[in-house]
Amino acid sequence: MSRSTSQFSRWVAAPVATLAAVGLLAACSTPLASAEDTVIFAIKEDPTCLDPQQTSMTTALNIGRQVVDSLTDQNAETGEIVPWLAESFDTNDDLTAFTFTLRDDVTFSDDTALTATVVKANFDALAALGSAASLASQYLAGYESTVVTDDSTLTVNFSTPNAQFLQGTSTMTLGLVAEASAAATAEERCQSVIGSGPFVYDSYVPNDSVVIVKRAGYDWASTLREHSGEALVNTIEFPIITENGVRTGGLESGEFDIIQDLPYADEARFDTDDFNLYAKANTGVPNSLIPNTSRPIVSDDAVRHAMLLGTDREEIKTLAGATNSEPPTSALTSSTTGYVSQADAMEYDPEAAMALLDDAGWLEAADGIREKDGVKLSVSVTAFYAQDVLEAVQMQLKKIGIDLQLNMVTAGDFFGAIASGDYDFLGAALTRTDPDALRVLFSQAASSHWAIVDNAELEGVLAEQAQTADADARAALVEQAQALIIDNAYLIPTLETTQLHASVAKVNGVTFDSASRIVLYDVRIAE
Amino acid sequence: MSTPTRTTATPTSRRPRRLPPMLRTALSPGVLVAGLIVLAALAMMLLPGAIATHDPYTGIAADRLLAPNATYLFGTDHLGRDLFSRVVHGAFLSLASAGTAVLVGVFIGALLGLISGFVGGTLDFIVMRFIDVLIAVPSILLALIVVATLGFGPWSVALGVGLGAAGSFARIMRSQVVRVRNEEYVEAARTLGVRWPGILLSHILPNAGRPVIALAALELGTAILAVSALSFLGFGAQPPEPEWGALVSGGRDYVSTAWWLSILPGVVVLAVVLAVNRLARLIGGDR
Amino acid sequence: MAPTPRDRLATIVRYLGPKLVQFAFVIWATYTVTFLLIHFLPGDPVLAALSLKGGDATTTDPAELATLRAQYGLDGSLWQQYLGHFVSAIRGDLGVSIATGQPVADMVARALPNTAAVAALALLLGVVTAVVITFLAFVSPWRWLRQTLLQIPPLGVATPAFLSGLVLVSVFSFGLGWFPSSGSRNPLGVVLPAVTLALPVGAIFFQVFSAAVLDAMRGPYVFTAVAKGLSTRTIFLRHVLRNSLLPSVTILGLLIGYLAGGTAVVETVFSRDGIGRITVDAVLARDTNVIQGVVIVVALVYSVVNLLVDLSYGLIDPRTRPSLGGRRTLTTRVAAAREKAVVES
Repeated sequence: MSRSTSQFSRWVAAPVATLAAVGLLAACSTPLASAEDTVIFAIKEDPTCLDPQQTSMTTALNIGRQVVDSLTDQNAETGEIVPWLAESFDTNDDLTAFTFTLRDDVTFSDDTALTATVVKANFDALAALGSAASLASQYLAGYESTVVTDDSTLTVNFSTPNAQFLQGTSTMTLGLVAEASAAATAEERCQSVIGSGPFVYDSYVPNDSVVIVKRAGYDWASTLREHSGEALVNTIEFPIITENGVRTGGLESGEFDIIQDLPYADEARFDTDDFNLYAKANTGVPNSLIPNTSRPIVSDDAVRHAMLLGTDREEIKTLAGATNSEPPTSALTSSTTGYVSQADAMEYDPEAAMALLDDAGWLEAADGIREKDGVKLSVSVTAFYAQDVLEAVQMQLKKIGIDLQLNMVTAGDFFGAIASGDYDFLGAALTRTDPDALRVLFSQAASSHWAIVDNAELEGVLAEQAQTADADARAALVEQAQALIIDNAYLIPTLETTQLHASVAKVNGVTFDSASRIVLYDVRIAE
Repeated sequence: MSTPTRTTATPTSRRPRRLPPMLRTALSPGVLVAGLIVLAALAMMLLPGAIATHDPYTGIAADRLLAPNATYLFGTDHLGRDLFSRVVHGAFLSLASAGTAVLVGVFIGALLGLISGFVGGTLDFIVMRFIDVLIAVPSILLALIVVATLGFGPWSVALGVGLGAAGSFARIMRSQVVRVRNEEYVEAARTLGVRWPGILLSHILPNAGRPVIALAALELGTAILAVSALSFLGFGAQPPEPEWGALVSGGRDYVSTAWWLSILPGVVVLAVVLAVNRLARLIGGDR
Repeated sequence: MAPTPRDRLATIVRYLGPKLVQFAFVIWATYTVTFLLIHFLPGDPVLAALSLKGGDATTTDPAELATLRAQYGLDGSLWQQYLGHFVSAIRGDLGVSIATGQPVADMVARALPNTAAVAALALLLGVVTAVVITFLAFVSPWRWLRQTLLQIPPLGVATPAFLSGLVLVSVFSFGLGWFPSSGSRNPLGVVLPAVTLALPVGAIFFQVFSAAVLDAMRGPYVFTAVAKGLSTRTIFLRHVLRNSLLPSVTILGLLIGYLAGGTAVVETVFSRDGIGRITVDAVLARDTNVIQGVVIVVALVYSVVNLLVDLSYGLIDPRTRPSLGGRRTLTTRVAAAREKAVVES
């Protein structure tokens, strides 16, 4: 039992340390220091675009988080929004106007000061970028204008209620850049941006590495961090190592201090005293099969329900998931605000699934796949990652007589399929901090929705929760949405993904922010 | 003092009676082993069900990532599937698509080379410039474009690899055709009144054919590797279809924890390609 | 009558002229064929580019996509696009990558030295190893040793590069720590990729070279040299080597062309930037400008190398030098040499 306790303590170490540090910060002020000046953090893919406002790629955001600061910060444990660059903030009752009062000591790395005008320039530029900055445009849905009252005060106005905006201001997607960067073109910004963060971009060699260096004079860290003042290391190098085996091998040999995305298969190998593991369950919609109910076989409710009951999520977790994660039990992951378990409606029951199919007229043929009126029960799933999850689902569905064809494509082709509607199922997750992810995915009114469903009640609930200011009322609507989605089998959840990173034992200070992205402000190397 | 071996002018009276050189080479240990390997590969390709020990598509979750043992000859993969059965069933896709690639290359290339060499003149010049281009475009790029255009899958890969190889076949065929066409016996045949189609069939093709066939055998090995490499880069068969290159690729995340997933299929590829090359050299008339 | 310098010049020009025309034609034809091919590529380059930045937030709204497409200049007839691109390419402007937003010329200029370093080292290692093994086989007094030595290089062609690369990394990088496992920051990082590539390159070169050596060994001048009592080493270096250069140089030219485009697997395994890698990424992303740029550069390299190889024939083998006798004999001889090399590769 002591082993699982020590495992447990290691898993929880990061956020607990943060809370403890926050608590101690007032009383104790032992200066933290690093024994080494450079940290080497191997990342798994080329970030391509270094502008955290434009990109949604986790790798790019993990780097971008160190270079830009945000108006607010969010406590990863409690979800509470706290001040950061904005000393105070206020929202009106119907979530259409947000007022921020800024600190007056913040400067960007080009020595320009942070003023309300700069913030206005940021939001205006983002709105102009439109869908080239897709995630930001979702946070800024309904953006009307930013009104500057004085040097430190501004109000952001929306034409429709925007429930996710405040939480969005704590992410690096709405992280602030200098006026010069806001005025630059999208391509120029992708090469480098000027932020106010504890680090500054030093170099970016595509397909090779990104290097960031410490910002001298940095003194406006979020109160949620372990220390204040400048960063503890001078340089962080991010070599781009796409091969999993090379990344893990490099960690083992000491060539890398920290690595991003430790494959679950290697979890046991690094679960020792010589290494630290960092895990954060993704929030939002879990990895699932997302249906296009306008397609012939997919439209059959019995088929979808059978698929829902015929997937053994525990087994998928064993085969393709992290050891310390949970199998999905709703349309949202268990770590998302507003999650309510739908476990009863989703319990693995292959007998019931087969009975459903039999009743609906899908009868087993000679090759083990069911048939009805000469049509085989064969559906396809289009995906661009998580192949092993889909292979496991394929094996499970075969046992109840459903033939799941896998269609692994590139990311571009995946979105092409969405744009043209040419798919039976999509295999993907939608990682968002806010439960509004359900609306983004399911609402037919949403601009880039993935599921194609036809349910007026669901549509109404999703639209309403996006405009409800009262937290309790909103939570009730979100609960209703999850129930509707699972009861109608509009989603077949397969896996709750956990972000898993690893470092050598002497690295400390790696934490996750509320959007599950890595914060390296406190990173240091012990003796 | 060492003397380079010379196969000509050996006084037969001083040496013991030996088998004719061709048969002697054919029975050498290297060739015998190669032949056995190729036969085994063909068996795996045509009768996978008879050789495989388990169903290559279903796995038992509890048995995942087991090292090779008595039940699972090559161990199991991350989904609990038997690797040996997957390798056996993968033989068809790997070898058939490599074989298709060679056939495509020979057909297109030899046809172009034959026409070009036979007709000569301006047509020859134009066709050979086109062949130059085919060779100048990197074969992997050509294969990638073909696959991306026709959709991922082993047959697109075969077509792409085959197109890349067609250039060499065209060149060989053409040069052989030109050479034979200028030979004296062809001139003699013409004088005797034999028409060109007859000359084509009875003189040119047989004589031009042998180097092409030799090259085809060699290219088979290259094609197997090229198909595997493209699968490795993600362009091959869709899961769960086993294909040797895809198996090596799928196992590369586990090199430290379950080395058998990559190494064993890789060794199989190595053995088959070696064997094919050995036999190809035999056909080509080398030692 | 001895040929005057003016006659010699005329012959050289008569020889060189068509070669240069051919050179230009191949480059142009390659460009055109690739242009046509990649415009048959299905899939949307705009979506591919957006998905790189957008992740799961990528927009799929048709109206927005149309606006972006117009922004990137992906409208306009095929002919217009072709002409426009071709004219810019001649002026040296290879366009901008849709996926990454960087100028294609920059991307290629950055990747080419990486690939060239690995390729050059691989060629060097492969050629030297092949020559050494051939020499040892040549001088070995025991038949079994010669047979064994001759069996080693074919292993190089048969081993999949991704496998040997992974094994090399496991043993020499993580196991012994002698070389870095990845990247081009450390100059030693070029060694393991080069060794991985040296295996097939060396093996192919070996097959041609050893066949040429064996051929040369049967020549009458070797018989004379042996009769004169020259040491084996001298025979090898002075006679055999020189006479096997022709097909060897030819295959070298072909190998360089192969390396120019074929390093994708090695670059993937060793996480290095390079021509192969950006080619694969560009095809996956339907990034037409990058594909075009890479093809032009590779075709250029390939054609230049082959031109040099052709010219070197004259230096190596006086029999192939352009004689006043006729271009026809020359072309046939050169072509014959080339065919021989290709067959034996």
